[in-house]
Amino acid sequence: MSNQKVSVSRLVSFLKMKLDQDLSLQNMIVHGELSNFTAHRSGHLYFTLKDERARIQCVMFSGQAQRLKFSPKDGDNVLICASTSIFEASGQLQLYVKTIQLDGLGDYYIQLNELKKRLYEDGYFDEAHKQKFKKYPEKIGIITGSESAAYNDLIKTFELRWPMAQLTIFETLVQGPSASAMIIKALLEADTLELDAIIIARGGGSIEDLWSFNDEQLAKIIYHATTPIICGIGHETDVTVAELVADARASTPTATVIAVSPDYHDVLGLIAKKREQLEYLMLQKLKAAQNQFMSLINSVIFENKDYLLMESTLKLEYLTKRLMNSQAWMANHQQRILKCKETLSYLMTSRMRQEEYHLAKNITLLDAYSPLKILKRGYNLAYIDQTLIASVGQLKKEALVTIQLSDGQFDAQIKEIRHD
Amino acid sequence: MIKFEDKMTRLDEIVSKLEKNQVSLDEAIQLFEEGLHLADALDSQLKQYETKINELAQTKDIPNV
Repeated sequence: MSNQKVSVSRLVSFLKMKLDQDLSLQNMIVHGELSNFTAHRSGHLYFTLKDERARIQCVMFSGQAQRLKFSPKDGDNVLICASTSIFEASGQLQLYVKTIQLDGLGDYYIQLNELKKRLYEDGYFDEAHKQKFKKYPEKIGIITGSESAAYNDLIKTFELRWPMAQLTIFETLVQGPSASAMIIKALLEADTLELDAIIIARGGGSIEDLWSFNDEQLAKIIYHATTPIICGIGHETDVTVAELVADARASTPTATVIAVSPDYHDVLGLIAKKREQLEYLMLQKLKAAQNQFMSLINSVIFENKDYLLMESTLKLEYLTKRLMNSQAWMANHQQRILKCKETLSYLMTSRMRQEEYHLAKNITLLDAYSPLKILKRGYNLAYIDQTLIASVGQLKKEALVTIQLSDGQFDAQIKEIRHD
Repeated sequence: MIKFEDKMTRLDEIVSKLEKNQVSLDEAIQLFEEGLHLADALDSQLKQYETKINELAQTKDIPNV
């Protein structure tokens, strides 16, 4: 600067400008101890940050102060994120603080790891205990912050992906000291509603933001719940205990919807495919039945209707022929018999005539040779002892002799025998 | 009210049975009809639904911790 005289306001202004322009003085992380902490009625916070050798004035405006996760007090060791500037009116150098966090952050991690180890050993994270989710869930419970981005994401994603879902929403705090109690209360109630799944979701945050999800009691409630639970917590680094105990977890609230429900367009496609399959299979079955039917129809039996009858027909023909033949034979025989009869008759008659003739002849001869006739002619029959005398040799003198005449007999005695 | 999931499972069963082809023609026709009805029901169920939201009034009173 030159030797010109300069006003206070100009000097202060210049100094402020110098500081404001230096980027290395913006958004610094400064650590130190809090003292003279004052929370103004307006919501602004005023305090001093100090270490053993120096101190600096700090202000945190209500806008940022609202977001504090803890109540700072004198003596706290803190890390602040701040920019250096000058308050013109007073020429006061101060830090304009954006965030404050307790410097004992390591404590959080130690606590968390101990809890995780303990719960793991007690079996709270066991895979075997985790429940399976329904493929097509209809009633789903959601536990999330009221009107949060998570809430909106969940609703929107369900509308697009699985509008069939009937959602029951439980609005709770998702950070702060009362959050875990509220979440537990919501969870216990949701578990009685016979839902197909429960989603616990919130957007991203720091380890302190998500601290409610590392609550031991919440973990135990999740473990014992009968409804399958999925956690969608946008954690930046470490997985929370709630996510480890839950039956499933997803990296964001939207991801929970994708994990828990199918895309209904896919399901529509699947149903269409099944319908096609049904039609195809049914068609195949009908075709097969039809082919079977056709082959039966076309088989020899039906082609040649006469086939079945053929054998019988042949047999019938054969038998008929034989029958006819036998009829002829019968007729033939009848004729023969007739002829025989005739012949027989003729022969008999002929023979009869012969015999008759023979007889007549014999009768005539007999008659001719009849001794009676001879007797009538005057010849006599002489018997001696009832034996006919044909020779004088048979005669004895004085023998009695019977003489047979044609009409009687007389007895005589032999007087004399004479030979011729 | 038969759940959506159960209907989907039954549809799968029917398709599987017809694939295995161990059913008589009569039974096949019955199953086919049932399958078509299921497919229709599932299809319209999916298409007609809109996200239904039941807001449960949560007490906003924060218990003092």
